[in-house]
Amino acid sequence: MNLEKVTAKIRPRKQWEAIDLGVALAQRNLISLYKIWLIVTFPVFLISALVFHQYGMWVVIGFWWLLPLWERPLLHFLSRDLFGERLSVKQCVSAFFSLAKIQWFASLTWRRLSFTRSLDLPVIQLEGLKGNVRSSRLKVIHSIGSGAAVWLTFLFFFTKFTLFIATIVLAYLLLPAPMAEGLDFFEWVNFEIESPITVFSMNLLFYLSMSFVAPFYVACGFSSYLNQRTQLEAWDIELAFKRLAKRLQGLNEHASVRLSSFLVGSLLSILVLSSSVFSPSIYAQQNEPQTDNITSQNENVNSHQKAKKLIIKIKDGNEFHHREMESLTVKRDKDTEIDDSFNSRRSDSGWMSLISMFVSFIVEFALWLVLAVALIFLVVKYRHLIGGLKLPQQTKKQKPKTLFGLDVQSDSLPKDPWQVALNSIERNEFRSALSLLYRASLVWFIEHTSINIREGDTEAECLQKILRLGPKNSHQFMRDLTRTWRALAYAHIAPSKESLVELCHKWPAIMAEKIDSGDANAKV
Amino acid sequence: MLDTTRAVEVPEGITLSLPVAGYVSRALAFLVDLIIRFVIFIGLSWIFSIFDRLGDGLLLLSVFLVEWFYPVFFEVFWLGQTPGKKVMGILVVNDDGTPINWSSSIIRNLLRFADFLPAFWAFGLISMMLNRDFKRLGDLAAGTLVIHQREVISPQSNHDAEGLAPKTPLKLDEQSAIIAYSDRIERMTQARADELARYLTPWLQNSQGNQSSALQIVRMARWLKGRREKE
Repeated sequence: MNLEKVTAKIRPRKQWEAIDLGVALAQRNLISLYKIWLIVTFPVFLISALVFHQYGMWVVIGFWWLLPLWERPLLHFLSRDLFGERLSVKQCVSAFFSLAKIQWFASLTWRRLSFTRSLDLPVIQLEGLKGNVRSSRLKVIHSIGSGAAVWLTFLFFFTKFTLFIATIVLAYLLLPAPMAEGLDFFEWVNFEIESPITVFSMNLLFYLSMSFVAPFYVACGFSSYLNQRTQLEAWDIELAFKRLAKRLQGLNEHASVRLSSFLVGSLLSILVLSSSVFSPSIYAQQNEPQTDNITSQNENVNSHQKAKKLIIKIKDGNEFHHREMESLTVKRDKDTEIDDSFNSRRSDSGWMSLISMFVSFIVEFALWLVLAVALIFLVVKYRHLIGGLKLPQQTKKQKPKTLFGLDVQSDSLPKDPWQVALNSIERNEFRSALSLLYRASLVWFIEHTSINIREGDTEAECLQKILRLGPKNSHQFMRDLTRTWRALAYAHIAPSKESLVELCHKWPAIMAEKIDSGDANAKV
Repeated sequence: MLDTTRAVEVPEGITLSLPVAGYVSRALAFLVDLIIRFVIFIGLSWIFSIFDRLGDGLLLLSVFLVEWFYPVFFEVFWLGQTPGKKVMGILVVNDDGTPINWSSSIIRNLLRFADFLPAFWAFGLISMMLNRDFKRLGDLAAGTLVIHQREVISPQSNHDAEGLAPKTPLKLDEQSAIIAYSDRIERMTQARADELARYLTPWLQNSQGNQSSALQIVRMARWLKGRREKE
């Protein structure tokens, strides 16, 4: 038994979780397990059912009693599979007789009704223990808890009946009514009908229900056994330590380290081999060398992997990803006769058609109404996408109080700012004149157009907004004004007196009080 | 590697592995719930018997409500667990590991009817046996998983040893293996504990002289758990 070859995740699990691993284990090998099961048991069942047909259900009870024997080849397969060794179905079937011999008498008599059968089977079959050694070993295995194994047996026993009855009910439900009428369902289930065909089919059904369950039961018992040993012997830690040791050995390629670990390794293998606690039969069989096959197998594996890579590469190519979609409408009822009959039925009674017309009219009206509402909703919601349909803005735009340190509230301005500015120019107070003019212009845009100037905006941003949304005749003026203002305010370059006076004179024409705001809005 | 966990990646980029619960634990949980409902019905029929024929009607109504909404009620209000599931230590979650909500709980429990067919929950049984996530039909429709609750294993280590720093930096799984060794050493036989420790002997510090490898690993686990100094 080589733990490193294990094909299932080894970790300590709850008992119930361990059972679930068994189901997964059985799922992985389901086809092989059923093959083995059917090849071993079906001939036996068939012959006994034919020979002992007058004994009715005793055939299947007898078969059920022999279950411990039938389960062994399944366990044989599963235990090898878990450690990476694929046995063929043939190998397992031919091993049946040698496996069935192991403690067969005890298994079929006083141990037959043991509830922990599934958990105990690996101890006798894989570890090969007998007598007192076996029972003390079982005590150890059960010490972690065998409750789950008991419930497992209990539950699977009833699962067989469930499947058996369900299959009969299904058949009963699917029978055409006239055939089913003559049958008494409960007589059927209770084997009260003497007809040999019925008896045989009932036996067969129960055999099939048992067959469905058997691989799962064996696998669940085996996985609980594995879990008990994982917990007792810390298999997961062994694996992790081995990996760690390997990695560390790779890290320091030191001769002495290698030597010592080699010594320890060989010492260990001697120890392990001589230890009687561990399953000798597994070791013996797993250690059989197969050196002849190894090289050829390796080559096979290599070419196989190459081929796999190539397949994946080709599958990823464009050739395999070409998709086309075609759709066509086919009338479901091609038969015009059906249509005719439908129509004739409709015209059968006048008032019926009247009601239906009325109803259809209401429904149609309602549908049109829904459509109209939906359209209106869409138009209102996306009106900003449709030019010219813009409704007046509901929210009043926020007016900034100051911009870059300038007070831009309209009541802080004189009535005719350009006149005041001209006066300042006369007194050579360029800065206050220009600032007043600029401020007044901004206030005008804020008050009279829809341009939304926010408090954080800079002069350049204001200009951009004005150029985008403001009235056209103001563009050049605002460009000049802003440039002059920025040069004076930030670069301290004084403008010429004439240009300032010119700006002042232009101002009243452009910032005419009564420019209608609709003009500005229309350009939005 | 075969395992019964399903990986779920959460938006934070962490991969959770949900331990999916299979047929046996789920069937037993179901049986427990069945018995509880049976007891409820007996109690109700005893109470309603006072009301004569009105009581019959009330009993039928309550049977309907309990039969269909008992699991829904508990799953939604009790973090995905019915009493039976609580007994078995399993719970229902959505496929992505989030707690179950009304809609998925109602879907998965209404579809018990489909799982019941053709008799005694046979379709559900077969579906749970053959599905890789052990889902019954209701789970497939609702997108839910039944998972095991994590069991907290309390460490039994009572060693009062000083922490010991590992010589080389260890990866996460290696660290957890060392801590697991120290937590479970009490439950192993002495021979097995020594055998496991011997895998690491070449790497352990020689300067510790006569200290056994097992003790050194236990001390290392203490160091990894953050107990660097003797308290």
